Amino acid sequence: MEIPHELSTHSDAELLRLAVAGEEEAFLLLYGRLKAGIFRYAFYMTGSKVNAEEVTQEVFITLLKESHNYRQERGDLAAFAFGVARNFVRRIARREWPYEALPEDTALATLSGKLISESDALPTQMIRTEVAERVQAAVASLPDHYRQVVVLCDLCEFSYAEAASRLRCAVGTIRSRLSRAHALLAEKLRPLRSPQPEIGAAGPEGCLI
Amino acid sequence: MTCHELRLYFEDPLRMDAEFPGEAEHLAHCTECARLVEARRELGAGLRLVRESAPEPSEALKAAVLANYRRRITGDPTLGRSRTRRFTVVAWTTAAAVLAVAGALLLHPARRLETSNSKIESAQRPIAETGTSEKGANRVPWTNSASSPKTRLRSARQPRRAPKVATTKSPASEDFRSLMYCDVLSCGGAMQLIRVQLPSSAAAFEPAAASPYGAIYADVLVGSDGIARGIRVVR
Repeated sequence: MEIPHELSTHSDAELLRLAVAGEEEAFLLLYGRLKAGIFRYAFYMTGSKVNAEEVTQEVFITLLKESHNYRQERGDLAAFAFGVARNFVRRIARREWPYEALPEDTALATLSGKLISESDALPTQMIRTEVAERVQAAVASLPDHYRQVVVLCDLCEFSYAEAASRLRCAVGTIRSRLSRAHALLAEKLRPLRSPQPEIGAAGPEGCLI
Repeated sequence: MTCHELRLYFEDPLRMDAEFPGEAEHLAHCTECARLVEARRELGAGLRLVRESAPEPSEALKAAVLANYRRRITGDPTLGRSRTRRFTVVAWTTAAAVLAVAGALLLHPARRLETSNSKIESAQRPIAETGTSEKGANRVPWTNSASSPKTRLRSARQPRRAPKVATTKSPASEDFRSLMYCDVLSCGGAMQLIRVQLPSSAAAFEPAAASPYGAIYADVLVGSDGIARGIRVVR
């Protein structure tokens, strides 16, 4: 569907108001703006594409239903939507804590599919897949407040200010948590590192392959 | 360049992949810093791999979200009845039902204690009794004439499943043995009389009541709360 050009200059809050009033184009534009951040956050927090899609859908339903509860002076709409997503992620975590993810979960299948390309040699592909899986597992094992900042800043690529606004804390808190989280992650991933006789010579990719 | 300078530089998470000027010379002779930098860069590369591996939301998701939006705009009341929401509604309804039952159970003994004396007297009043020819669990409502209007209303709602009313007899304490620990035969509402067949071993206690086939029957008074109040062996 073609989005009218004049709508693209509207803020998220204005788009939501228009969407609630019945303008489908406004809703589509809002969906396009917010979906990626919400989906990726939910995916990294739940480790499942199905759950991430469920969260994304619930967030947009809630935005429409609870639009009257949104106060622009308390933050931007993306932060409001993120708060909703965070609550749904917690609900899913509570719902699914007794279960253990199967190895053939779609997330891993997608992961393997994307990592393996024709140009890569098989050993390289395997190592890359294994590294990605281990890093993802290490992130998942972090305490929640560290995990949130790693997911937002490192994986969803939000700026410190955006992460601070979504987690409702100071930018300094984000920085210190991220630094501590990186130290923890490096510690968790230590067994992954192979002995390197030429320490200074290897670049970032050289350490992995 | 010192170790402190290098570590301060790498404290900033954004510089995980960056190169510090003069870093190579320092790392060539400082193993500790070399390990730190190596670990941070490996982590950066690993996070990049994870980032690149993220799936994209499917087109089906967009279609579902849009369908929900259209239903909401057209005023479909089923919009938003998500699984989570339904679960919440069911959970709250269940909780309310459990609370209501718990409240009823809590209030009932209090009423029973308050009126225990009057109820013992009322237990002397006549009740309808099942016909002796019927075997099994025929239930006859026991209407307490001394009860409150509310109780009478509840008694009227009791299903009358035993049309054969044979005799009227007093369920006095000499007939019924109380099964209650501290409150003899009293009940806040209507009681039911249920005829049950006892195990044949009970004939040892009531030999006169045993039928030629060795079966023993007993009438049990059951309150509206489901608690048995008294028992009488049918002779």
